[in-house]
Amino acid sequence: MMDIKSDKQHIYWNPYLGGFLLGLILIITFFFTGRGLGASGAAKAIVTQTVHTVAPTHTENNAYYADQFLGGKVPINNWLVFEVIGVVAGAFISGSLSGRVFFRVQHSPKITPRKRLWFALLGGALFGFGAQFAKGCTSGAALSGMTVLSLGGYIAMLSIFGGAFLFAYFFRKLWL
Amino acid sequence: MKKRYIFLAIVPIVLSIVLSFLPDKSNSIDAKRNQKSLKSAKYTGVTPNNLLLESVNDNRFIQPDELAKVIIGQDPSYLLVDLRDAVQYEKFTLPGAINIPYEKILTEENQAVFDSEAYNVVLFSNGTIVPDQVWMILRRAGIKNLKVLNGGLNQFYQLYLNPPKPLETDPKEAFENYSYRKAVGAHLGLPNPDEFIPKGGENLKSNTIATGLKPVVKPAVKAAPKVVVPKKAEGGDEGC
Amino acid sequence: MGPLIPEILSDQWNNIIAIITGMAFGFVLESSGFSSSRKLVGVFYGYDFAVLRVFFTAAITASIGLLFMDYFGWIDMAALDGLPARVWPIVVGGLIMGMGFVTGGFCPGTCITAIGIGKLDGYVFFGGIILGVFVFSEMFPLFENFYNSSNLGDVTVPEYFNINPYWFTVGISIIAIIAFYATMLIRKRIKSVEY
Repeated sequence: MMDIKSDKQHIYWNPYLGGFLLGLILIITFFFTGRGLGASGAAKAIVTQTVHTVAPTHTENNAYYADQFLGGKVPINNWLVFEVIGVVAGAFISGSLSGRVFFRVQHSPKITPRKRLWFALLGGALFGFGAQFAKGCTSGAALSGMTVLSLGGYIAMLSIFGGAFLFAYFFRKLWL
Repeated sequence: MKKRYIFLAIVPIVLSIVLSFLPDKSNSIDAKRNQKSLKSAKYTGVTPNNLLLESVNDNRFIQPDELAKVIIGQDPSYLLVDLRDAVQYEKFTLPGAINIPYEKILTEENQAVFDSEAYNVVLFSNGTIVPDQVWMILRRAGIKNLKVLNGGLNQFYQLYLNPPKPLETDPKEAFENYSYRKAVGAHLGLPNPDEFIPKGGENLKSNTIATGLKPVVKPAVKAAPKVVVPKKAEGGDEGC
Repeated sequence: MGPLIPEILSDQWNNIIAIITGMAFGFVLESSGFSSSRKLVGVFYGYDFAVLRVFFTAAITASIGLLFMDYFGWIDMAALDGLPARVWPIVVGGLIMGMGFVTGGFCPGTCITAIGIGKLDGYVFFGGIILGVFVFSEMFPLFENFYNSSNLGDVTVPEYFNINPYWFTVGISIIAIIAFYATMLIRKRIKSVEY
């Protein structure tokens, strides 16, 4: 197979261009569906559907799970799940065009891949946990919320980035 | 600093300034903010699924005894809304009630009554069907803090015009309820049928719209105040 | 016309549009480099401010675009899904998410783009999200009261502070431009990091 790592794998778009296009995507999404983008909701749907398949009575007893079945809804049949599938596909296409598709662990030279993976797991757990409180993540709550000038969106954006700045110093060894 | 970045930076600022100076159109976000119209309520109101869940439990009903307490205590956080037409409203209504004939419940000025969420609104009419329908409609529009008088004015009158006399074998609370209800009836100016039955009394009964609801004699425990009754009625009189 | 889905298009289109929108989203994110965790955390250490630039530019572009469309009556902004402002839960959630961000180097959206191009740390991060959601759901009875507290409702910032939404957008644009310029100056002073 040809060398899939190409020379241009570190050439990224101008961030303002990326931001502008992302803004257009947001406008189109809002225009067509009345809702913004998101990601953490898909994880929530996956968890609920899995727990429901394994232990149906448990989902009925827990208020958080039960909420997602109101009105006969199927949790996995969630707009965000389909959107996430699209994101994977879109990222794959973009990565293939730039030769960025191959399995690897991206880590700072100062730590081992294994440490990186453990911290990725920890970071993910924290993110998933926090996203439930705020009912969204950076794309869903902060970005889409800010687009409609929602107070919750701005608060979310400020807390996420504020929190990250607060804790950045303690984890600098992971990145620098 | 590249020139095109400066140019690009100016674009959003100029665009948003242009937005600020555009003349107010009636459907723009600014006008909507001031108007608080119900146009978007079909998306922001209660969805049919949630409405079904809400309608299954009976929390929205306020019992006549509770309402009587509110009236006598002159609780300012309650707003009584009489949904009948103006003629019936003029004849008799609950103290402090405002009149919104139910066909006009969705007009702008009447909606303004519900928009402050500071009140608990009690919807009542002669029976319960009309207030319950209005409850559904208003909940669909997203209005909160709504209650429906259980049994309507029919049951209210029955209970306080002619409180069911307790049997000898009933517990003490039943007697206390009875005295309380007679006192409430007297306070509200309802004639006591024990003393006389005027034409007015008959009219009251015949004006009621049959709703199929039998006046329910509530078991003595729930809404009845444990406080000794005559004192409370006197207190209300002084407050008037 | 407003949001097309509930009224003009039928609901069945919703999932198809989700996939298409997702593809566009993923494509743009990946091409801007957001599948790289070291690029993402650059904003917190000063060596790469791409996150700030993309984020703010997207928010401003979309806001101004939607406000213009709302003005012309093509969309009804009040009918769009906002985020109910449950102040304290959002603040707490945001702080926890911030910690997750610097630890894991991803946010859910970008971790999915990382999955798309084969980054194993992206897979692990997504597994972590699943774990975090599961733990929260199981512990939900403990948080239930807090979760629903201090809800100001679906209020927008201009409504809450009683200012004109268009002037608010002007203000945000100015703040964003200043932030872009300031971070450009900062980046010139920070030791550059190869990643």
